[in-house]
Amino acid sequence: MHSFVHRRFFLVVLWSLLVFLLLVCSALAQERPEVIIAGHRDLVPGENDPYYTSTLLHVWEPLVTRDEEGWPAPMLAESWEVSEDGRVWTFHLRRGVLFQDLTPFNAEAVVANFERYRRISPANSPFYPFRIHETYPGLKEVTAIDEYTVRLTFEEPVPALPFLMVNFGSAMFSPRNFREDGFFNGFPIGTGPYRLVEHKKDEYCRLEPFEHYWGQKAISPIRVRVIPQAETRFSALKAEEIFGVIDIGALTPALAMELLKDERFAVEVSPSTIAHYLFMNGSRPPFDDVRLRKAVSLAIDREFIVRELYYGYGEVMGTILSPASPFSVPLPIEHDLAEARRLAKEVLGEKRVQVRFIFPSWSLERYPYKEQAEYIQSVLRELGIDAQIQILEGGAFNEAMKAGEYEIAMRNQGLPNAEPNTIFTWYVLSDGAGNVEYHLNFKDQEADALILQARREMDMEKRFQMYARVQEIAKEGYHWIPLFNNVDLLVYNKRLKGFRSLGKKYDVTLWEAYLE
Amino acid sequence: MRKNGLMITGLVLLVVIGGASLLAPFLSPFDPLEVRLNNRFAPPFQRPHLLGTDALGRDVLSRLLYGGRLSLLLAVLSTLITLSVGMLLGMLAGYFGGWVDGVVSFVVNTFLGIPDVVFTLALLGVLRPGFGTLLLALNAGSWVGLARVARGEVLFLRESGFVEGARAMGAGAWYCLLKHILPNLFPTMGVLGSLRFGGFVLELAALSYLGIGVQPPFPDWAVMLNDARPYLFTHPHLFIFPALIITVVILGANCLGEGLRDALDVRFQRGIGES
Amino acid sequence: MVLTLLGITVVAFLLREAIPGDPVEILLGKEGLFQPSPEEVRLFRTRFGLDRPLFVQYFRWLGDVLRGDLGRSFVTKRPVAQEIRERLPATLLLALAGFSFAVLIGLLGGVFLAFWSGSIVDHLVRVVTLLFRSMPTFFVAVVLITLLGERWRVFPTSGMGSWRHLVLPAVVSGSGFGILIMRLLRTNLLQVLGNDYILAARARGLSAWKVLLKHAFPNGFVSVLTMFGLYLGGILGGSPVVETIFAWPGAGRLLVQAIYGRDFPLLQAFVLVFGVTYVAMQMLVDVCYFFLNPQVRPGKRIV
Repeated sequence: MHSFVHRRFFLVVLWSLLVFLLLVCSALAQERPEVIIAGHRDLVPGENDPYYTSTLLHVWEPLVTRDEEGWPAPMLAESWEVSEDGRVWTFHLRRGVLFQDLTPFNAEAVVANFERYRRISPANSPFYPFRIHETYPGLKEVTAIDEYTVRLTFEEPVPALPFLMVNFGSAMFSPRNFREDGFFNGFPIGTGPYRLVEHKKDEYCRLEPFEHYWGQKAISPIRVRVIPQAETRFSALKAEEIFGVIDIGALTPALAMELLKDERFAVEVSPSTIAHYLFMNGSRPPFDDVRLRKAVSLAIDREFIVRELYYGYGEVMGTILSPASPFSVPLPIEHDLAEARRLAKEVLGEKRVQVRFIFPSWSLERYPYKEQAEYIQSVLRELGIDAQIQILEGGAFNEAMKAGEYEIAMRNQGLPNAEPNTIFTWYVLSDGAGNVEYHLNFKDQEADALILQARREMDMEKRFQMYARVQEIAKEGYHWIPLFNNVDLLVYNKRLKGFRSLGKKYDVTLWEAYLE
Repeated sequence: MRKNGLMITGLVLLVVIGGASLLAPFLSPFDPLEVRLNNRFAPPFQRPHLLGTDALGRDVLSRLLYGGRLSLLLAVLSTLITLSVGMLLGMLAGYFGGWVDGVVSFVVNTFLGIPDVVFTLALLGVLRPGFGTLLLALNAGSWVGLARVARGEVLFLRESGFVEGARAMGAGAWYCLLKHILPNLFPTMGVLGSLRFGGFVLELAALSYLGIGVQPPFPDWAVMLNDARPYLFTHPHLFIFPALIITVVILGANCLGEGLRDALDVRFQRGIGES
Repeated sequence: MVLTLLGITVVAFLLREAIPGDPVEILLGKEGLFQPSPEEVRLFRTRFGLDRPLFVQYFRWLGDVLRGDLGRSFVTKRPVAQEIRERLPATLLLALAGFSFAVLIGLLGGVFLAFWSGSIVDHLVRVVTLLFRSMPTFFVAVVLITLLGERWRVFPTSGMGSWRHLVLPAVVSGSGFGILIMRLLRTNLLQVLGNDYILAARARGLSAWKVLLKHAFPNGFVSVLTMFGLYLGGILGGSPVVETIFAWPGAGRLLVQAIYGRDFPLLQAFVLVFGVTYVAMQMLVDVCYFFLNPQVRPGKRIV
């Protein structure tokens, strides 16, 4: 009797202990549920891409990133300084950083990466092409001064190097990650809070937190699905198959509005560097006359477009430089139909003129360009301008622009890097590639001088003034008419916590995200 | 007589819609191109815009009236062209066999093997946008399937009793083709043709987005459908009305097609129930 | 067969030259947002032999193909064969599922409608099916996704995974063809049933069903069979629209991307594969004709 009871008792205690242990263990090993989000394209172009993945996925990190105001900020490089003449840049690297293969991040690794840049350049990518002579113009030497200091020496002064290096310009990978030709020999091994663990092309990729990350560790594993159609992303969100959207064109304004009517959802507005412009063919009548170009700009009510067609999601622009750039100056936005009519009358008299208004068909997937064009068309009609709208296939559109077979072209344009000189060179400089190729025909000596000078100007204050002046001049040229700046609408399910947009950083706090 | 009800229905539908399209300048209450920004998305079934207004405040009814002009014309023309070319080549290939079949099949297989988009883009690159190019773009690939189906049927038909009998009596090839084979192709061609008709109406929209076809702001039914996409949930009337009219038109074409065939072909007047 | 294939590939080569735009600039230019330098363009052209005359390029390509090398994609730089191989299974799966669905509703519906021709049901089905077919695929898909995926959560809204993921895309991609088959079969059956020998068979006392199956079907099936051949011949191209809407990682989407992105090696390979499939299918169909009616021999000359 006794021993029986004792044994029973003993067994009960043992079982309870086991159960308790199991509970404790499972609580400790509590994996966060996978956060599932989606984008319209595959953010992992793969081995033959210079970066393998987009910055958004935080698998790799650059030396220099952007802060929320758009200025260059430290990432893997903690600080930097430049010599008097602007030819020698010294970068001090962050310590205690490990690559995802647990090799240390140090000056040697940086030098190896620059070596790789030389080998792969010029390299194409769906994000930004990598061209070493554009990001690091005239780079002569890259040397490791000590374990955490790297020196870059250039042929000529490069005052704005950090601006050029932002994000895609200075991606760092483990030196063991490359093939002979400089591209990847396997999954990317960066220093970021996430490791790429699985990738099915055009379907999804999976990210898992990197346990030895140097900064704030990621909370949840992430699955990024590829869903090309906006309406399908909408449905997936509603059906709670995904909890958020990411990347440019995450959701069209109309769909976002509709989704937000549902209490379950909220939105993070992420400003992008992509802005919409009207390219005016200045090499032939009628837009060879700046007065008529000005009339066009004055006649368009940008506020209306953003408010009505984009549901308020966008920033109207008075200057050609997107507000995502820290150098952008807020020039006044003009809307004066009376003045526009007056100017048009001055130029055209009583006659009417026919013009071709073209835009590419691929833009229709993301933006309400058709309505936008029809609106502009209706406004121009009042000025005596009969615009014939032509939607052209991407290649045909480029052809038409190059051949100058258009009078007005509507298209978006992003900033390739944080240095506005690039965009000014393309579209404002008299013999700039865009200016010439697209027949904008803008020529201003003062602007030319400023742009060329700014390339070597070391004083940040002075550069700011110069760029401000360039913007003013460009505005008065009305050859590249800015409409408004795009924003990405990252609609997400409120159950997804910690999902924040980081201002002009073009980024989302994936590592803080978790599902409730 | 019962079957002719079908043809009459089809005819009535098409005539009414076709007529309305033709008389659009007189019937249309508003200018279909007139943009009224303060009256966007007016709901339907209210005066003065009976069917509401679209994203730029334009009257939907007026746009529907004008929207069929190009679509109907092109769809009718294209259906006729596709049917003629397809049937002709199919008949020749099926009846004569030998090298005729070889050549036709070669051409057919070439068109099949190359994706349609490639053809359309190539056309775009070579020709100026215009009515002729549009017609070409719509028809370039569509006769192919019809030709193959026709060929198939002809292969079987030429073994049939009628044909053998006729040939035994010394009838020439063309006589056989016209009197015996062609009429027997009508039923199938009728079905395929009327379904293709609908396809043409819809394809016009796709072409518009490539730069040929109707350019904004001119209304076109299929284009209006596509424009209604972003507003599917918010303003469904923009989608429902063009969709309805397209359906009715296709229905009309289908009824007409099958009704005509019924009327022409005595055998159809017996269904299986009466056998 | 070989001649046809050669012909197709030659035509494809010629056509691609006609497509507007400089392919190299489009490839390097990322939708015109970047200007490739003339140097880069020149480099690219020489590296891929795009500066040689067209027939030289063609023969080079042909030579490579005969050695089993389909080239590398201009966009991803990976071997074309790999790109296609990765995406083809998904497309085939969807296409076959769609085809099965289409055959199911087509055959059953066609026979059923022939039986009840002239009745209210016949007219009703005509109206409903035409309504369905006059919608662009996009709308049908969105409606289905919204109702069945989003509201009632019966099926997943997109992606590939379990059999449940297959249902909606298969229905959408197969329904158009299914309706075609349904109407075609109905018409052909009625056509055949009106023939004298059918009347004779019925007069001899055979049941309606037997008449249908043994006599009407074989002759009435010809066009449907031809359509099957055409459909199956094209399955490798998938349906880009359906694949895009349902986020289905198939070859259809890849093909469209290749065309708009001017990825010539990929495009050429697709054309080749298409050509082979179509020609094979057509030959198969011709063989089937023979089984339906042994007297039918395509290619037989009639004097």
